[in-house]
Amino acid sequence: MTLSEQGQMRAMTHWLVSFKRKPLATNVAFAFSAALLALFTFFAIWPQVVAPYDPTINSLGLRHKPPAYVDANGGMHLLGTDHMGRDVWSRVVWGARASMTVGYVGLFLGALVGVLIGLVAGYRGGWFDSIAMRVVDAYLSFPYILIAIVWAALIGTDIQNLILIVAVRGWVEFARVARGQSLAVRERDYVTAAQAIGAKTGRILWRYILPNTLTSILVVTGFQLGRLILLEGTLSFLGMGIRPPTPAWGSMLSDARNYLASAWWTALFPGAAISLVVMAASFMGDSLRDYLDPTMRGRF
Amino acid sequence: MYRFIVQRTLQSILTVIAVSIIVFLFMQAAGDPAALLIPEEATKEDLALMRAKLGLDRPLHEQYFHFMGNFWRGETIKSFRYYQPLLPLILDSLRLTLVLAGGSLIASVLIAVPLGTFAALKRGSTLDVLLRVIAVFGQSMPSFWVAMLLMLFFAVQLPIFPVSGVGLANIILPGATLSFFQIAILMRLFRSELLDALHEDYVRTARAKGLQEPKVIYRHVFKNAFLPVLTMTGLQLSNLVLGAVVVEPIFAWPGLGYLMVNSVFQRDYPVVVGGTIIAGVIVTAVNLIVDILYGVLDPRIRIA
Repeated sequence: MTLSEQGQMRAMTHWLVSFKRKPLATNVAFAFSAALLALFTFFAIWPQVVAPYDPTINSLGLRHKPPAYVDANGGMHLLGTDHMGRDVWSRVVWGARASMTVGYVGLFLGALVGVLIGLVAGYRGGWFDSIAMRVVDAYLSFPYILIAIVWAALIGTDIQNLILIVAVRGWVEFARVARGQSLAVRERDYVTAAQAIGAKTGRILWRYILPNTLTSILVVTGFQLGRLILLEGTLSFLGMGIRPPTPAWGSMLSDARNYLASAWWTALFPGAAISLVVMAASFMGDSLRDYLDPTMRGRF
Repeated sequence: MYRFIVQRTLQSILTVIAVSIIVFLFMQAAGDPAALLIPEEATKEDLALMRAKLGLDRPLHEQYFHFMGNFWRGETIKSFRYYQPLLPLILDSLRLTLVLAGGSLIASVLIAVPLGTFAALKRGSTLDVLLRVIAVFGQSMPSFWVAMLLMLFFAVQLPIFPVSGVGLANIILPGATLSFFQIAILMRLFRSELLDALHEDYVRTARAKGLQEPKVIYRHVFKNAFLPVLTMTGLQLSNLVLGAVVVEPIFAWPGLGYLMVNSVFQRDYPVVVGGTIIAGVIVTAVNLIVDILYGVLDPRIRIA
């Protein structure tokens, strides 16, 4: 076992110990949010296991049936049907695929780019750092949703483009946190030692700086996932996200708007799904912060 | 201090310019507006003529300066659909957005402050816990869903408020949607600020010298807890303008958001681009003012 592996082991056991010592509320929040996220991730990967019906097949004879409706074939529509006679529960389950895909892939790309920019900016400093941080400031002072709307409306709304839109929003917080950590670590003795024996910048970033930023990055991940899923939902709701007939929570709500008076259930359940995922993600961020890095409290 | 103000102002201007370039490039990438404007049976020569007339045959940077110059002078660029200059059209709808955002902001402060006070003073009571649960869940709810739920309850089930349009009764539902989040944020902040202030030494001193409790709360706790809430309120104004973009189309409140989203569907790109720039200027300006005020009030901020 090398020295750094020993360090990692110690970090792991430390983490497990802190898990036991935390107040009940934190552990409950963590378990609850992890279970919810796992559930929706399961929906996104294997929707056909959970969803009883095809989410895209219209059957106009079954328009706007209320929740728990049993059709002529004995099929149960747990959450009712929508204006095209599609099963709402099946669409909510399949809708997880669009939101979670865009959320996770966008998050991953954003984290990759953001962490890289942040690490280099913090370690190198100089002009790269100044430019990167000015761009980050500009992001945080400017409403990204406007750019997202123009982008989606003018360039297109296929899923790759949506992921890109979300990723371009997502990198900012990662860059900020990674830069802060990188700045703090680069003066440590072991980094100086690595520099002295002639390690290349890439190796120093990878071996010495990156491992020290991982906990903070993990904390940001939780908060960021909720943010990005909300962004995707908003775009889909405005008609600039996932295109029908592919089920997405935002566009389901957008359809439901026209039938509020006659079919409240089409508006209730997709919105509840978005809210639950976003809440689970932010609880996840909260509890990860409490476990891993309580000093970040109040910064996110 | 002057250096701080100049730096922040320059930075804001640069941000707005960068954004205007980005959205302008999006507009270019979206396709040839000349092709959209002329009838389908037009010849290639007609298209070239139209492009020349719109200035689309000139280099990109020239087109950009031309567009921005005309836009800010409120001249010649006509939107595709509306036969009037862009700037007045956008400013006109912006007025309604600001009415909506401002109204929500005032309502939020008026509701959040008493609720936060109550939650802090009766800490741990059922109402405190209930308010906190609502606040946490409320922050996760997408605004468009809140809008639909309010519509469902207060316009469909109980027909109290109109669903759409402009007027005093019409502002209630979109305003309530926007306020919902502000109340959640402001209440949590005010509660925690109050709790912090309650444990300060000067509060203990005030109580020790025999001051009556209501006076302690008002003079020593309230005033100190209120400053961060004011700052947050300023910062939230930009969030409100943004929230309006999403909420306005739902209630057909004809503000900037309504105009922009409709223009997207009508492929009226100059309006979308112009609206983005104006909304960007407003939000950036509000952020700038809050930053500067904060710098004036708290000298430690200026260095960062």
